[in-house]
Amino acid sequence: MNVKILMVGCIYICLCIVLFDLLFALSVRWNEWRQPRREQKLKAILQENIDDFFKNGQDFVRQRRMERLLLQENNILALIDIIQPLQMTAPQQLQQYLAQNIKMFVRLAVLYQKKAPEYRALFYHTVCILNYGNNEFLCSGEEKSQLHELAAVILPDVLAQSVYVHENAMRALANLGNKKDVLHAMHLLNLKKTPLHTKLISENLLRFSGLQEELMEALWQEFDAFRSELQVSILQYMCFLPPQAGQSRYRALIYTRLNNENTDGEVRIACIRFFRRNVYAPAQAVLLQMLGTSGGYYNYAAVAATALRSYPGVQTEQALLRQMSNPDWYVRFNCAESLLFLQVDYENIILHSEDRYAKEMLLYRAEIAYLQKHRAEVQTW
Amino acid sequence: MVNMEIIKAIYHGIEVFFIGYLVIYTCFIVISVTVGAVTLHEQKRRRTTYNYIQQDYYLPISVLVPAHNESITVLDTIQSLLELEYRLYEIVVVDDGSTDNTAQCVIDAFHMQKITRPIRRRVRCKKENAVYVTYDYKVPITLVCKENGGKADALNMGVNVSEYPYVVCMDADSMLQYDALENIARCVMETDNVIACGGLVRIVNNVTLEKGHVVDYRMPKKLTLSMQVLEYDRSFLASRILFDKFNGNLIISGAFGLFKKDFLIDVGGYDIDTMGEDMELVVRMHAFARANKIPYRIRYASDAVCWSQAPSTLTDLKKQRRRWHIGLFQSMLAHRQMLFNPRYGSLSFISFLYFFIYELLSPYIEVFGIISVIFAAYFNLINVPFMIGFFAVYIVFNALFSLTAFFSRIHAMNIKMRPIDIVKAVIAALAENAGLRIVLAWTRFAALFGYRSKKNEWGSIQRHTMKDNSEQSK
Repeated sequence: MNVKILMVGCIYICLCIVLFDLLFALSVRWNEWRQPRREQKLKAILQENIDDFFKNGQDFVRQRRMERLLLQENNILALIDIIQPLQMTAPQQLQQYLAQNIKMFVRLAVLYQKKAPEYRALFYHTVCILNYGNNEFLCSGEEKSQLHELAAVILPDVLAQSVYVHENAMRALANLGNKKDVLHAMHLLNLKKTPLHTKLISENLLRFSGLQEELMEALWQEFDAFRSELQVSILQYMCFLPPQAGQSRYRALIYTRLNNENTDGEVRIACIRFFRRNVYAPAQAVLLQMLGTSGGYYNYAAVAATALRSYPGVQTEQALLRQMSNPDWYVRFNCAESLLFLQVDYENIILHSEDRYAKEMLLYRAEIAYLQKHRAEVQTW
Repeated sequence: MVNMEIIKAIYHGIEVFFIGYLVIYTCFIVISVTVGAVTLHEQKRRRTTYNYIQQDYYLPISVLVPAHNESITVLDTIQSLLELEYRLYEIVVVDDGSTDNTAQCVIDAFHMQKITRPIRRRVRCKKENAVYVTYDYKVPITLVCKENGGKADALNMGVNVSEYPYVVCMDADSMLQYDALENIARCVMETDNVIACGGLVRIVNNVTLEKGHVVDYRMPKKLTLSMQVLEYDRSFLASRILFDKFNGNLIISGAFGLFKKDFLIDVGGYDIDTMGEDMELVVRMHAFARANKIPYRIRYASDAVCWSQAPSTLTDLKKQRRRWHIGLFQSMLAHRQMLFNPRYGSLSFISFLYFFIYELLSPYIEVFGIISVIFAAYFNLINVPFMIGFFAVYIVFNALFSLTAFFSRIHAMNIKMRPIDIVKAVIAALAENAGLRIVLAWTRFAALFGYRSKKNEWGSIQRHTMKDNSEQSK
């Protein structure tokens, strides 16, 4: 009897699966047939709306129709497909169109808050594509305040549970180019209890479409209010900015943090990396001191060994050569790389030194440098 | 008469046991395939709606390729790695004391130079004999020739040689899809505490790949291979996606897995004394993290695809499954404290228990079941037509789930299949559940016979070049 029940159960499930699989396969086929046609139709409608704008200017009825269409996610996807080629072929006209329709996108942003997280993420991605941050037709105070309104709608989603939503929200805010909004977002992230990936945050900051100097200043003013992960992200962001962004103004301030033993270890390491790309003479002494440290949770010596290649001089060379006998493998490894970078004449060490580890490391680095140089020559040729 | 009563009572007990066993297994299959299919569908929709992390640059990764007598396939593997669409990675090939000319093939093909590289042995491994390197290609390629020590030993050497903070361990007869590194790295970046991430392994014996892109997908001609295609898809779709939902994955395939190097070193690297080094490592990582109260996730990236060769003959397949079963046994024995241990939560009461009953013990249970049926027929306790009907229903049931998993994957990857391939898939699904399953159950049943003397025997499996693989399917 029990076996019969099991069998009947299995047969029932089998029938359900067969039915489901067939229906699903049919639905996929139907969508494959229907979707391209639907997309073409949608694109034609959207293109007609945009063309009509270019010919006849703004029209409220048309704008409302567009807004209703864009409430559906398929239409948003179709819009992205239209916008992207227009950005190459008619950028000025497109910017004008988008500037005139900023209010529509603000209203859409509000309406999309009621939708599922994945559709909100899609909308924020669309905001990035629209590139309002670089729109030169948004001149008036009212238009700029519309951007701020749009950002205000997006901001709460920086705390969204879904990583895709908060990542796309951050990208959208960075793209909108208002430093206050980005700063506000960083404060919201500061409240988040879950661990944050520093690289994702610093990459989004680097995407900021406004003036990087202004953003940097705004972030630095509130630097101490942020937890260590965000401080590391900010330092990484400043590290990778191009030199003309003006991060050299903050070298003295970052130096005080580097020099302070109470600063969080990850932050100090981020400071060391900052000073590798942004040379600051007083930092050399601290880096040399760190090179001489050993033990502890954070391997400052290994990171300092790499950073010191940006501080050529006798003191640096001597310190690096001394540390070639350091018991820490990574310190020796990085010192050898830095010595090679500084083109120190270490052949004597390789030939005459009794330190087997130093000789080994330097010989290896010399071989690598030779092979990489050979590759560069072949590529040039 | 009394004896007959006793026999009937015994068989009643056996019936109750098997009904319970099958009901639980059925429920697991239904839930896991449903969750897997829904997850794949959601993933596909997320892609089309830009719900994924979009970065220009992800994580620096060292790709480790242990090779022992892989001269036929290693060049294809390295070439496929050079065609990956990823920015920052390196390739480390470890020749584990090959007796063919694996190392020389690599040196000649990629014009490698010998260097004196100091290697810091942070995890134990046998000594290196020579190190070669080339910077003439898109990424640095390092070849380490060492004494034979086994796959685990070779991987440990790769970990010691690697420069980057994340390592991907793969096989020398596998090829990564062009976006495999990007997709597996993305999975790691979504959460900050991911210590390991497994990818999807698919069978390449029927597939034509060009620069890491699938240009032609067909079901293999050989039934042995077709059945394995279905089996892999069911296994990877069903259990891995389900276990990923509650951080319960106990295995990351040795053909493709990403690990955070520091954590891998902290747990001691791969165990060189076990054949199932991939599973043993992951179980040990779970145990280590929980014992030290470290917040962690071990993830599964179902869109990070590695194409690997499957054994094309039944003999080779049996060798492979024997090895897997011994590895499973060794891993579970080494970490038996996880069974029924509340400290491990769902990992113990779902994942570990599932592997214990439905993977480790299942061959013994199934063989016992078959023997019971034979004896029941002998004692005239069985309604033979009903039994045949029951088996038929059960085979169709399992075949349907295999097909659901298979077609979910096909749909998720936007692969177009020819009608003949669909027919082959249906036949393979039925044959796998009706025939191969019993053959492999017996293989796994016998795997532990002579365990002590043969526990570290890998055996050799016939390899084919990627060109031969794609020609086989035509």
